[in-house]
Amino acid sequence: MPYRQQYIQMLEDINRDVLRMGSRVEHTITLAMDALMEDDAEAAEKIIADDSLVNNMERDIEDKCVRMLATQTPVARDLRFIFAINKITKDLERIGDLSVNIAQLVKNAKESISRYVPKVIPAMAEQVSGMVRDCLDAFVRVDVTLAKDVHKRDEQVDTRFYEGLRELLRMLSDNGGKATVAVPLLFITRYLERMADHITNICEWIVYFDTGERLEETSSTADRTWLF
Amino acid sequence: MQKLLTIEKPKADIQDKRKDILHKNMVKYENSAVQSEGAGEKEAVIYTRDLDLYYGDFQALKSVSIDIDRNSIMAFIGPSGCGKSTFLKTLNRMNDLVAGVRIDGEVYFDGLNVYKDYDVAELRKRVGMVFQSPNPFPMSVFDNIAYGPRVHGLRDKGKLEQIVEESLRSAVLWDEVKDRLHRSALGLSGGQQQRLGIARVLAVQPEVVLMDEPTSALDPISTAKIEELVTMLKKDYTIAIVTHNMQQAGRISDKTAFFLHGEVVEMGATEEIFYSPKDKRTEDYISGRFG
Repeated sequence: MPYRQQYIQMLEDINRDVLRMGSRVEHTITLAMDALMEDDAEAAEKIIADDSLVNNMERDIEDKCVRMLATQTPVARDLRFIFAINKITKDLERIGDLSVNIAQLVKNAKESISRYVPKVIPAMAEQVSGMVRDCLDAFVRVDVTLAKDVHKRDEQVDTRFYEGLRELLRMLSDNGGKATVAVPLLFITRYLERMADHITNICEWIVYFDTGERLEETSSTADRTWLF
Repeated sequence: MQKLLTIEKPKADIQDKRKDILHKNMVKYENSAVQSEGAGEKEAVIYTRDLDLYYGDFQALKSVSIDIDRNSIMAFIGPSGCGKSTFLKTLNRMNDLVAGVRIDGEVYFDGLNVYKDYDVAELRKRVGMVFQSPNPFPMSVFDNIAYGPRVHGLRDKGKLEQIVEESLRSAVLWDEVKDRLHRSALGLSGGQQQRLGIARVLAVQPEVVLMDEPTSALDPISTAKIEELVTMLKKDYTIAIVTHNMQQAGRISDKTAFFLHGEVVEMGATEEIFYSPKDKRTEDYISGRFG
C-alpha cells in the first residue's frame, strides 16, 4: 500500500476539481457562441448569472491548495503541481470571464448582431474550444507533448484574429457601415484571441509542473497588419 | 575564534612524509572522475571515493563517493537503515570499535587518508561529532566544555575560561548559562544540553562538525535555535548533518545527498533536490511516498 493515502487523495481531489472547472469553462464558450449566433439575450443572461459557479470553483480549489500547503508541506513535483494549479485556475477563470464579456455584449445589443458575424468568429471559437479540450486532456494525462502542441496552436488563432480585425474594420469604414454592430464584434474577436492566450499559459504550467522547466514564449508569426 | 589550543607539531620528517602523501592524494583527487559539479570553485575538505562498508556479511555502504565542501553544510537524508549515519561515522572513524566492520575504499580529510595517515585522537579533534540525544557528562557546565581541551593537555585556567566562554558564545548558550557555569549540566533543558554538546565539540576547535540527527529529540523552538546556530557556524566550520527532518535539510543545507540501501541515489544542490529531483526514488522519498 502506498504511503500518505490522505495526501495522495487530496492531490487527486484537486486534480478532479480542476478538470470539472475546465469542462465548465469550455462549455460556457459554446453557450456564449450559441447566444451570439441566435441573438439570445436570455441565454446570455444565464451565462452571466452562472459565472459565480466558476468563481466559486476557483476559490474552492485555491482553499484546498492552501490547506494542502499548510498541512502537508509538499515538495518537488507535488509543490510545483500545487503552484501550477493556482495559476491554471486563474487562467481558466479568466477564460470564463471572457465568455461572460461576450454574453454581456449579446445581452446589451440593441439589434440583431448574428447576421453580421464574420465567419472567422465561429471558426476562432471552434479553435479555442478545441484548445481548451486538448489542454485539459494534456493536464489529465500529464502529456507534455500535447501541451506543447496546443501551445503552438495559439498562432492559428492569432492569424484568424487579424483576419477578423481587417474584416470588421472594413465593415466600419464602409459607407453605411454599422458601428453599433462592428464594435461589439471587434471586442468579441479580441476576447476569443485572449482566451487562446490564457490556454497557452495553462499549457506552460502543465509543462512546468511535470518537468520543472519553463516553456519559452514563442513569438507569433501572424500577419499583424490590420489596416487593410 | 582565536586558536588557543595547539596540538604538538609533528616532527619534521613526519611533516615531509605528510607533504608527500598530501601531494599524491591531491593528484589522485584532481584526476578522480567523480568530482562533483562545481568542484573547481569549492574545495572539498572531506571526500570519499568508492567507499564500501560491511557489518559482517551485510554491506551497509556501496561505493559511496561524496565531496563535502569547506564552509558548507551538507545534509544526508534517507530512510532508516539506508546507511547515512554509518557513512557519517566513517568520516571520523566512529565505526572503528564496532565488531565485524570492514571498510574498503578511501576517506580523505584535509588531503590525508583518514584510515591510514591519521592518529584517531587527532582526527576526532579536528572532525568533531554531535549525537542524536544530548549527552552531557555528569559534571558542571564549565567542566563539560573544558573536558576536551584538558584531555588535550591544556591546564592554564585563564585560557580554559576563555575557551569555555567562547565556545558557549559560539553555541549561543552563554547568556543562558553564564550564571550557572559551575552547576551540573544535567539541570539544563534538552535544547540547552544539545547546544552544550555543540559547544563541547567547538571547544577543541575542530574544522569539521558531524551531526547525527542533532534535533530529533528537541521541541520546535530548540530545533529552530540549533538550526540558526548551525547556519552561523558554517562561517567557521564545515558541517555534515544526518537528518530525518527533510524540511530541516531544505532549510539549512547547501547540498543534500539521498541515501537508499547503502547507495547514494542522488546528490546535489539542496534547492534542486527539493525543487526538481532527477531520480524518481528521491522524488518519492521527499514527497513521503515511501520510507
